[in-house]
Amino acid sequence: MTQCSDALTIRSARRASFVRLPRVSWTRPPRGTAAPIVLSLLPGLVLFAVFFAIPIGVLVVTSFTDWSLIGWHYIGAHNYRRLIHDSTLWVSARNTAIYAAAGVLVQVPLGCAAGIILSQKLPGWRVYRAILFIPFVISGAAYALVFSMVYNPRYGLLDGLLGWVGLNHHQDWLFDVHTALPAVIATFVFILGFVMILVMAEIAAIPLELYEAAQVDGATLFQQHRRITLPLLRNVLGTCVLITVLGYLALFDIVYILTAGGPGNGTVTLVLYAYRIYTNGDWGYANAIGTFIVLAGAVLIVGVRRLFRIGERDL
Amino acid sequence: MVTRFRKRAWPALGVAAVLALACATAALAGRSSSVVVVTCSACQSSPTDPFLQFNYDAVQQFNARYKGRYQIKIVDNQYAGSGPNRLQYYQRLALANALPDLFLLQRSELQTLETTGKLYNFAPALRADRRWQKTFYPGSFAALTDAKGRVFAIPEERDSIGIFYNKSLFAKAGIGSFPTTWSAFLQDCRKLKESGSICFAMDGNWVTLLMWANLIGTQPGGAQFLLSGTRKGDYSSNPAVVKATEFLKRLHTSGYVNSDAFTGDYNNAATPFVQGQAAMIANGPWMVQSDIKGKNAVPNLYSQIGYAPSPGWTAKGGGLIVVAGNGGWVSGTHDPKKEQAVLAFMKFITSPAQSFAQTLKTGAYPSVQLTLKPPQLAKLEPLAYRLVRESGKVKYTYTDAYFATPAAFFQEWTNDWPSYVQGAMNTTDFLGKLSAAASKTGP
Repeated sequence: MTQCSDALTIRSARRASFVRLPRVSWTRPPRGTAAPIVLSLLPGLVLFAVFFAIPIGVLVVTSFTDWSLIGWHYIGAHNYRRLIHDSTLWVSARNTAIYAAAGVLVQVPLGCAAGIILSQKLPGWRVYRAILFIPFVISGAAYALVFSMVYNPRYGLLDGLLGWVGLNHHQDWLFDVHTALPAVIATFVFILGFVMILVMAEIAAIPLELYEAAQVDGATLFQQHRRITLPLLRNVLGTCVLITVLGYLALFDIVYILTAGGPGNGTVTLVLYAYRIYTNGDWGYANAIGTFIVLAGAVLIVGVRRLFRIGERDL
Repeated sequence: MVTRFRKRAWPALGVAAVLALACATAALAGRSSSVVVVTCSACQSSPTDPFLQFNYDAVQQFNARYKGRYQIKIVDNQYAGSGPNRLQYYQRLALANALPDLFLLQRSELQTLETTGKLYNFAPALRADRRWQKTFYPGSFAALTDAKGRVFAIPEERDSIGIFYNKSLFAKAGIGSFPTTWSAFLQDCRKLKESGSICFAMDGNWVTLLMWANLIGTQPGGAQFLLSGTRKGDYSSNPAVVKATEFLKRLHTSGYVNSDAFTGDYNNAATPFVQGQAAMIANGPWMVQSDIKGKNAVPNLYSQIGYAPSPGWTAKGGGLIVVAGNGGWVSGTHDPKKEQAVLAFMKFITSPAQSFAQTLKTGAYPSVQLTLKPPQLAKLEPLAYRLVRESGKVKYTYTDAYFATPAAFFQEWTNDWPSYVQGAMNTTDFLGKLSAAASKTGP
């Protein structure tokens, strides 16, 4: 036990080196097995082609056309040049970045904190876990409809509550240019259930010996979480950040229902803007924006994976 | 034994199957040759939409009358009534060459969908039956006819849209009668606000745009702008449009409208009116059935309601929105037999009997001219009928921009109207953005 605790001290955990998992090398299949392998891969390949490769291909190819209701012609990179000079697109990109940043800076830390606290199995932790998780399973559209009523300046709950303390000015939270963006962010940023549940699952897999060793070394509870839990949560936190960022890159339903992107494009997202262009019949340009979103997603995936070294294991 | 039975039974079973198949094919062929089946995607039954329910009832009567000859098959879908995504639905069907034989479109939607070249042209049929054509109000087809004289829709309604007002709230504020000028309107709004009422209920979309139309249409040249000008050029310096837009903004900045006037949700305008909190709202006569006599209205609201034409910029310069031929029945058929069935249904649903039934059931007046007898007149909604008679007396009549502008215009309006009212942009920029959006190609 002493040896074990020596080997796994807090210091050693902090200094732990990182290794990549071994790569699987390609070996030629034995003779006569090629046909069954191809046949067994076929359903998966067909599904991949139909639901991924072909749609992405159509998206990219048509982004080089003026595709609309009446037909299409190849127009080269015109849509992409237009994209660079489209101020609304950059406003929507900025808003999308703000939504993602709010998710990463508020939702992930709060969810992580909730996960760590509830992992201590405090009295009633199952009830708190359920309360925090329930909002995650409610659909975004239903959430938005509820909040559109909460924010209503004439009969909404928020102005009603503010009225009790003498602050009711019939503030139109969702359609005031100064409050619309924070109001939309506030509807989703406190949905912590997803991050919380992943963090709790990861904490359950951390060997108790690490904490026992730390306690023997005299570490406080805060130090244990600071030096053991958080470093070992790196992979799952990276995953949470990645999923959060990609989720907000595709944010549509909540914003569409609450404000439709207004006022003055103050809450519009990239996907909502692409949808607007699509409904105006400018499908080629809408697909150029779609391609831009796909590329942005790919860059974010690579960036977040590298930042958090997702997939690498601590020794 | 079993094997022998199988050997003998298989040929017999095979012959029986072939005979059964031949009979079924013959039966189907006989059926298809005698009954022409056409599809309708705007005819489903609806407990909430009286217009759809009327169409459904009409289809049942048509199918009964033309049994064995024509049959309308109802295609249930979520885009049957008017809505923001209806055009996309039909765009996708047009791309797939799968347009229904009968459906409904607004004028702005029609202008987009007709570019596909997949809509049926009613012009030859109207020329061939002048008597039918003459049953419609003069000019009903003007907005539905393209530059080449093709008519892609049969008009459905011709409505007069005025302003409902609550006489009790007017009396409480010390106002004796509905204002006839915009300056009197502002004074009355001040009195209503002081008496604790919302002067005018708005929603940032439909109702707000009706008032925009009233403010523009009651100026010289306004009617022409509302008919076709919203799609052309830059109107950020058009004096009539600027004057109207700034007046509408003033109603908001002075606190004369409901605090949730930007949501784009009609219910946020209708609710304060039917709850007796707002004194005025602009809307069509169908509002009597759907809201004023609805379950959300305060008791006896109907008895307190008046319905008036719009005030004007000068005394006796009032006006009225008359929505005629701003949409109607459209067909995607190109099969001669189905064309006959479609025309038969069009003549049926625009017949005097069905048109009168439409007025009674929906509250919306038809596009055909009705000669009504006193017992029929007694059945009409008096508020609406009074306004229809007023339409011949007011100085200005004009359409609503809502029906003649593409979807991009409304996106821009709902997006920028709140920020314009809050001072984030000036009138020139706001109208410039609207003009740019409206002149875009597409829906």
